[in-house]
Amino acid sequence: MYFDRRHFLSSLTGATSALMLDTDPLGNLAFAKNSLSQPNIRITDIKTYDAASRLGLAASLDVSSG
Amino acid sequence: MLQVDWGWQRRWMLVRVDTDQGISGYGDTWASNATRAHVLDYRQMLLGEDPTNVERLFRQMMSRAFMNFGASHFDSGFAVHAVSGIETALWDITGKVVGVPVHKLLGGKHRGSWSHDGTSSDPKRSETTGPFD
Repeated sequence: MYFDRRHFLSSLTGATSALMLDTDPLGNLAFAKNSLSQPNIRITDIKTYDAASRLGLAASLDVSSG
Repeated sequence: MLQVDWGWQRRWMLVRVDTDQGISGYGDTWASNATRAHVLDYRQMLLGEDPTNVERLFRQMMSRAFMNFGASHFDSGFAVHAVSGIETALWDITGKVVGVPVHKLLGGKHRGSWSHDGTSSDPKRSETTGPFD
């Protein structure tokens, strides 16, 4: 699993392109900048919940598609 | 060594990872008593860790999953189920921290919509996806 390393590099490349073209259609510049200034964040707990089905699981979440 | 109940239920389980910044990440995986036991086992390992170090935490969990491979091959499968749910939640947190959808971290969108039964409802799917999608 090299996803995060590969895509971070990809995002940096995208950020460079965004700077050159003065545009950031894929959000790479924002991602690269945010990645370099991440807050100090720590895991405090991990919990599990039952879900009768994926549909029920999805319905139980308050999320918006991106 | 982890002692688990092998009871198997064909259900899904939601995994929620909380952080000290008030950001929570969600993942899902197959539900079984064994998988749940492994999630709780990993919990002890991950408390206090930076959830955005996804690759390092993933490798630590996978190493633990196969630590007793020879004696517990079958149990390793349940451990990987637990890793899957937790890793997805870690990606969710990372996306929220940096302010982008997770698909931006993983190469971008392949399709514009999807249905809950796992099949795409995108009428253009056949035009936009390849044989490996």
